[in-house]
Amino acid sequence: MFNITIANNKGGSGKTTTANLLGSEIYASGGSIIILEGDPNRPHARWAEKRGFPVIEGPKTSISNTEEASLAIADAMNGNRLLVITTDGDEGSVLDWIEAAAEHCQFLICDPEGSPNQWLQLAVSQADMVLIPFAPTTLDADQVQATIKSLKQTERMSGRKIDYRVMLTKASNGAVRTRDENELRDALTKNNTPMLTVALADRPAFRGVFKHNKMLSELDEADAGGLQRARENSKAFAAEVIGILKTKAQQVAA
Amino acid sequence: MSFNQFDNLDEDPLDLSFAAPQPRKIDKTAAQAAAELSEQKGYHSRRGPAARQEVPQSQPTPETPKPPRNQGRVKISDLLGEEGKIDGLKAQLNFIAPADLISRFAQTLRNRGEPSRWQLLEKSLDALDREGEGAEASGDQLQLSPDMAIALAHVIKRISAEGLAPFAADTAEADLAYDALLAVRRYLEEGGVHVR
Repeated sequence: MFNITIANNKGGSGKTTTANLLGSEIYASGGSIIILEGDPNRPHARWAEKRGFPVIEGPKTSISNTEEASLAIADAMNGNRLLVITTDGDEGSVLDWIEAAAEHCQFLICDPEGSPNQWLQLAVSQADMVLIPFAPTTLDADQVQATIKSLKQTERMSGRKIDYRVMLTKASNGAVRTRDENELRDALTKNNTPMLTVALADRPAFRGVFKHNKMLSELDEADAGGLQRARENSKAFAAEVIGILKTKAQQVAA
Repeated sequence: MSFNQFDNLDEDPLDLSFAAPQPRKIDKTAAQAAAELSEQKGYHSRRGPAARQEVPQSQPTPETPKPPRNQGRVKISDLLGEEGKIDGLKAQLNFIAPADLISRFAQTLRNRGEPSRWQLLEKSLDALDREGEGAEASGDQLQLSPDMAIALAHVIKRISAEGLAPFAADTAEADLAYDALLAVRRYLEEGGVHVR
């Protein structure tokens, strides 16, 4: 199992959309996926419930160890390939859920609340890849640096190498980029910050996923415009992430 | 609208064959300690105080005599520098050696099954014993003997700058840090200053 954690200390950076699109692309490719949700507003759980995917309400399940978490997951998945687990932001059970999820899915996406919190730290410490999404604003860029700094501290503390990529979200929806966007990209490049080459653009179809409680591939033109380009964008993003993980897996195997 | 798991399968799917469900063992002690340390840097916890392991606090025992000597001692603020200055003796002590964290680190090191390697500190402690000195608290500044201070200086400076993070990645340094911190506690408590 690969743990992909979406991390940013700040809210509104596009974390939830990023997690949903990546999860949906994996699902559409026949993969199995668990989304571990740290946001008390539980957007993934609400989406999954309405879409018809199973949800484990972590706070109500009150597991006390990995074995109990594993049983709960097996029971909830029951042949499904996508499961959402909520934790209400309580970090107490995060490690048990992560350890248990490894036995039941190919990919785990951890989506913490957008704030500096210990849930995020725990998920990051166990991540195979951390994606740090940010919108092209100076405020977001500052938070990227703060997130990277804390990530490196967690890396030293946990003794695990943490691979990360910064990724642009809500980017210009076309060939012309804003000045802010260009400046931020240049600054990150100069700092040798590892970045995804694919950015997620600001597209109505991405917002439509939560508005209509569907996967991107299930939306139709009546739900949102620009579907084709949105799907290409989402697929290219997921392909890049999966490609990086695949390379890592091959290196480990070699 | 109804869905099933075979809906919307991509005609040009991503290659996911390299990933498979498989058991993964997590070093929970180290991960939990790292997360708790991050609280010092503003990473909040959603767990209520009742959910946390509380360490009962001992009261200082003022009737216990303290070592009288002050000569040749080094103030902790001198080691930490202005940026690392911590006001209040108790805060300093807890910063250096929070009991619950130390016990977790000790467990982590035991789990790793690696031998202790802290000769530098051991020498310092031997010297300290020979001189019959201990650490003492005076005013609001923790003061240590020069030998102890030398052994601890790099540990404390790095803790000040980066938390305990570097010591978890390097077993030798983790041993050194752990034993140094534990020694400080022991000497302080022998001197009648109880930490937590």
